[in-house]
Amino acid sequence: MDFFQNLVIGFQTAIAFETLLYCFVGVFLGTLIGVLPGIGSLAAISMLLPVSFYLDPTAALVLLAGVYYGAEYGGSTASILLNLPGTPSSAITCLDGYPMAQKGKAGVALFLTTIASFIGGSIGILVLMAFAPVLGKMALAFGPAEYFALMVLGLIAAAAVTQGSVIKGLIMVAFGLMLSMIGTDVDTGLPRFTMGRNELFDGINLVALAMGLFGVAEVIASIGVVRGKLKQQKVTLRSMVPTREEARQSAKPILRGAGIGSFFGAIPGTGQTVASFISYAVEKRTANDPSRFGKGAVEGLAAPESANNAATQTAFIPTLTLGIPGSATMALMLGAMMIHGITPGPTLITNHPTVFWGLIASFWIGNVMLLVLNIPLIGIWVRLLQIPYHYLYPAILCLICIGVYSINNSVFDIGMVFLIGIIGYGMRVLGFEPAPLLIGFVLGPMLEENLRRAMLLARGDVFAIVQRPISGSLLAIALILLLWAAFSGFRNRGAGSARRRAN
Amino acid sequence: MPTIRNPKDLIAAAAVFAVGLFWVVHGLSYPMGTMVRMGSGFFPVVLGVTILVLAVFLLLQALAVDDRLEPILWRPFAAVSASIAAFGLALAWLGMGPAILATVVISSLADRASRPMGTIILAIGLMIAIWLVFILGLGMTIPLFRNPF
Repeated sequence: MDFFQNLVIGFQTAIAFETLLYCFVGVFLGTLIGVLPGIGSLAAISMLLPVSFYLDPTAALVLLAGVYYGAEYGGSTASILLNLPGTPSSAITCLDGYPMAQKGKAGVALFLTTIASFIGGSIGILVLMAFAPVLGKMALAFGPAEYFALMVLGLIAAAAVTQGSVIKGLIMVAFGLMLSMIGTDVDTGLPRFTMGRNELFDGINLVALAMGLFGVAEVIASIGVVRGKLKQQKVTLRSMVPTREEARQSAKPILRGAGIGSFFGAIPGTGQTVASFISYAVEKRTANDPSRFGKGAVEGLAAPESANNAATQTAFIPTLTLGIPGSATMALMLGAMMIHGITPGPTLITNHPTVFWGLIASFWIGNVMLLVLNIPLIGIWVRLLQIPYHYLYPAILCLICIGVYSINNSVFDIGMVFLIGIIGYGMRVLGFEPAPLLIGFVLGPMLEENLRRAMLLARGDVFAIVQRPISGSLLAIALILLLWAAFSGFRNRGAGSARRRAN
Repeated sequence: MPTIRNPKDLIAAAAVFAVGLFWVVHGLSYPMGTMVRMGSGFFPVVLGVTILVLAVFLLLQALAVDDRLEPILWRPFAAVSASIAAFGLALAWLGMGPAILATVVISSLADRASRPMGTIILAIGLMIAIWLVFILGLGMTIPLFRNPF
């Protein structure tokens, strides 16, 4: 009963003209940047963050979230047509999507990914609606020690799932925490690591950091690389209809993908890319004829696309109910909420029901909009892929600079983007992934504050955190995860280098 | 003489160690406090020490596992970085119009596929679009042109 009342409140918020408009703008822009390789949803959200300051909190969140899940729909288009992933999480879609396009079945592939995305997204939203309020109630009993342990788990998970070595992931997390220390210490009022610059008293600007690490460094790495040739110029509606056999084959993988995606999306630190890779592996392992994979198997297309969209939706569970972002993009969303004066956490659902349920209702509306944008209007996106990258990236760079400048009207922040962009590219060359850094940066202040409070409550006894049942088990899980990641990582890398030496 | 088999991780370990060392030394200048009431220096120093330990692990990895340094894309790197610096400087002195022009022209040098005519048209188009969206639409107070004197 209560549940449906809440949903009604949500839809009342979401169908207001302004919210509906920003929902559409969000999913439209999301599809746009998802389709275009060389710019991800993270860079797009950080560009839109300053714009969202001009909106009311619900509309701002609806807009930013729309970009986020819209990009997952668009990401597969470039994978199928160009063999270039539009977003990292649709990289796996290239494996079977591009071969399908080469066989002249691009239309079917695009149709199936959109349907898989829609079903995956819908199941993800259902999971979000079912679990978020429950988790929120449970989290009300959490004290500072539990929050500290939960954040440690999230940070370790973020480091453990990076593609490179775990050590580098951990270094990035620590580096992010360190950068978050710059600025005034909220507890003592002492400015730390500001190098005497007044501009740094409020800390490094989150948008400048995200744009430097993801926007600028990504553009540098994409120039001269992102240059694909379109295989098929036109995708007609008629060519999109799958055969009965193809539809039957993809039904179960879509559901399995949605399950895997919902699970990994909700776990802090993993997310849609991990979800899509795992669901592809599961399909390949359970298939009757695994040799079909990589040559245009519909299962290899449907399952990961369903998984990454489900994960996109369930990623909101820890962010909204615990205030702990599971991915770098969620870290930005968290930042956006706090800028608007909404503190994510267990009290969000009760204190701001219109924000929470309005956001969820907008997910439903947004997903239906995406269905329309990606099936009847697919032609627009295909034509868009013909724009050469050398016209796109100067525009991206201009928007990055203006976006950063507009937050505080400060040229200093543009200088920060310049500096962080250089550091970010250097990190990329040395094999460091930037995503864990951003998670560390956002969680840093909360981590320190909760540690301080927990220590104060425990009278300085470090072991008190370990002895509490919930925080103790969370820390134990974090330790197991760390050991597992370190062990499997060393084994894989060792094998890889042995092979290279043998060649 | 032993050859360096993993320059990537070796350079990375050295850089991380330097950052960690700086952080610990600088962090020690803040009050440490006690375990019950942590001071401003406590958390930074703990983090700095953690990163020093991780740097040592990375060094061990560099000695145990081979890896190659990825090729650095010098041209895109230089052009894109310079274009952002140019935006900041031009914005402060000349206004947003010249800033957009400078960024588009300089960043276009990164890609050999760019042509002068296309670049100029792109810059003018962007100026108009950004003026429409940000200044007219969102009401930002950035002058399109500024007199430097």
